[in-house]
Amino acid sequence: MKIKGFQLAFVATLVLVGNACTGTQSTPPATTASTQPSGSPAAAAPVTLKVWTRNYTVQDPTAAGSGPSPFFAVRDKWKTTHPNVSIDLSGVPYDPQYQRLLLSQNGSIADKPDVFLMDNIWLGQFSENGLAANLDPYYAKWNAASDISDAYVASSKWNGSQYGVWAYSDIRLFVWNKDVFRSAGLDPEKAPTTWQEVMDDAAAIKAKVRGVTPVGFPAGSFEATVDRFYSYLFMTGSKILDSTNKHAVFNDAGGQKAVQFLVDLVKKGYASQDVLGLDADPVVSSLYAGKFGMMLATVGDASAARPAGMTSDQFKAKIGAALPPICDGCTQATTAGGWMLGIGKDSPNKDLAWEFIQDVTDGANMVPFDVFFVRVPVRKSGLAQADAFKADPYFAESAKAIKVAQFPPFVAKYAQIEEPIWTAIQSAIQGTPVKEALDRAAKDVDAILAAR
Amino acid sequence: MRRKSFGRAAPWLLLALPLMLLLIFIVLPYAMTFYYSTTAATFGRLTDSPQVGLGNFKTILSSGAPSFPGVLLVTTIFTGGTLVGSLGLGTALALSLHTLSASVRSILLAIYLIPWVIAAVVIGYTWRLMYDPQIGLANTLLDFVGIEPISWLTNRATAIAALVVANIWASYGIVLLIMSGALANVPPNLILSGQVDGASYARIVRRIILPSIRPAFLLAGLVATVSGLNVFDLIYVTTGGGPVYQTETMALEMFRITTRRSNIGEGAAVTVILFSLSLLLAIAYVIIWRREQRKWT
Repeated sequence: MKIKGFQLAFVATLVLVGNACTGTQSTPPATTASTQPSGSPAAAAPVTLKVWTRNYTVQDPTAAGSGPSPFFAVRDKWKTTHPNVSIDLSGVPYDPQYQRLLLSQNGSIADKPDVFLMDNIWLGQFSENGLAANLDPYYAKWNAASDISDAYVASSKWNGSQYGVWAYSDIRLFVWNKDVFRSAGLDPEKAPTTWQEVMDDAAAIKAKVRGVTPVGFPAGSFEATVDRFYSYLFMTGSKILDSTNKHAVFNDAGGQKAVQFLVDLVKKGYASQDVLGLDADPVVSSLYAGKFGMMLATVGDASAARPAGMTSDQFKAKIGAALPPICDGCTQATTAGGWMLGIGKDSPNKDLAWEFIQDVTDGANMVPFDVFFVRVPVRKSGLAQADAFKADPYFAESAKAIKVAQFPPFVAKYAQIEEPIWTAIQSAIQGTPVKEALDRAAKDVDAILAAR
Repeated sequence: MRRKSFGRAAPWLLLALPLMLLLIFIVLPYAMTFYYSTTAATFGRLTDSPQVGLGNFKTILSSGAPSFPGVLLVTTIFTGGTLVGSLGLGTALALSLHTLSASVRSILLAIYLIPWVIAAVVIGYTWRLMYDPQIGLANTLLDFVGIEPISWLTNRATAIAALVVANIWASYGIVLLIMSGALANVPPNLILSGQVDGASYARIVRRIILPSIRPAFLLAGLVATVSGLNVFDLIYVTTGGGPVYQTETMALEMFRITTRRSNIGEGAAVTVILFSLSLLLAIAYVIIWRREQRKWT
């Protein structure tokens, strides 16, 4: 038992060191809402609901740049409606959230969260590994389930059962710099709608605008490389894995076509080989700076990344956003990501946790958050509130995109299979034949999925 | 009698705390790493992970993406380049400073040591900016002489060379410090007698100074080698080991497997291999050091 404790402490130290190396922020202090006993006649036993979420969802409301928090809203409401419940809110950056959830599996029940926010790509892993509770019994009685947008309904399921409740989503859109388009003599309000038009616009930019790389996309050794690529893969009709989620299929004709598109952009000099070192954020920054003319896909309309002080009108005048352009014979598609709330499988407070999730994801709490952080509502009722999103000039594009959104596969080893895919993209850009690069990646992915 | 026994125990009492800290922060983590390298531990399964014997080592050594020989080659090129570059630059600077007056020497030494005291992450970001294809200094200089810009960090040959240059810049300081210390201990009368005999400075360096500081060379060489072998942060922020694992050293592989794949067992196996290589180097150093010592005594 002591050895187990030491093992945990040792690996926790490793994680902290790892986080320091990756430059992630340290865990902010937990925000705790302790409710005083109200002296109400209910006198129910005191309960603490432990909620693990992302840092930006529970920012200090007085801090610069902080937005409305649906968690704070519910916590404040529960002070009167649930006086016996203390809500222990803790928000951390992306990597620590993933790692603390994984590590919590080794701890005692007291070390585990009752409610946790998870990236949708973690769903398969947390469901299969027994971290997330099966929510089918709750969904069965939940009226608001029918309010979830059709494209999202099945995306919180693993193995046919519900394991998460969508909180907010982000959708991939094609974005371009209107100043660069103007300089190239292109219509700044018209996005290329096909791959051929991307090539044509890129040719015009290359010919007429000196010092600008026409197209940018991330192709470095980062998750964003595959995330921003999937829209182009999905529109060809290809998928990442087959229906059994046991074999890779991204090396089919569609997958080859999608990677060839990226390769052609580099070969023709419309994109630089420097993309091989790029994550998504520098591409977005370069787009704003006018160093790139277009970006194949980004999170939303890139307005969340706009420079400080840029107004909505200035943003609209500078950046355009639309659904990703499609290839001949392809069907419109894009990729969606986002965050879901799950309930800990070992939580002794599952009913309370479900009630909390219902309140947090309710439109009244979530829509102000979506508006502030430029996220996309996953509920039909949220999407219907176009007025609330009027500050986002491309909300209509996001709303259209939701209807054709697709998701990465929900498999436990998803985080592992991304690496061979981005390596294949990199190899192809460096000159390896596309089929050879994808076949090798598919073999690696199959091996990862087959390993125990 | 009591004072005598206390006197005998005093060194051990004084050593007890550092020894305990060493045990907790060095020996135990290493022991745990060795233990984990024989298990199928993941972040989600730490405490009851099954034993796999040498299975993790087999997986690492037979891995195809990236292949172990490939990672070893990158590590060797990176370490060898760092060793040669930092040893050469550090020694050349130390010899140059040795010819200056003490006051000027101390000022310049402090300036030259700045890169060594800067965090490797900062150095990594600095060099990444230098190699930036659009705004970087490297391509700006090339532009001055009419050469097309180069994708420094995305081409295998230039990426490794670029990283070696950055790491030489980060690590020559310790070599300079060791060599400067050694040069200060070279008997001045030896140099004077060479000068009296009419030897040039280059000849004095080759025949008198360098042989006199051979033990320091050994130490500086070991430090430079280990600093090349274990570098993680500088490469991580510069290329992240990519593209296509072309700049992935063993230190990067250890991190990638442990954190990205959540595979603590295999990550620990890479750590054990890396530790063994460092240990072999340290043993070689001790053997050569003893031989040198025999020559001098």
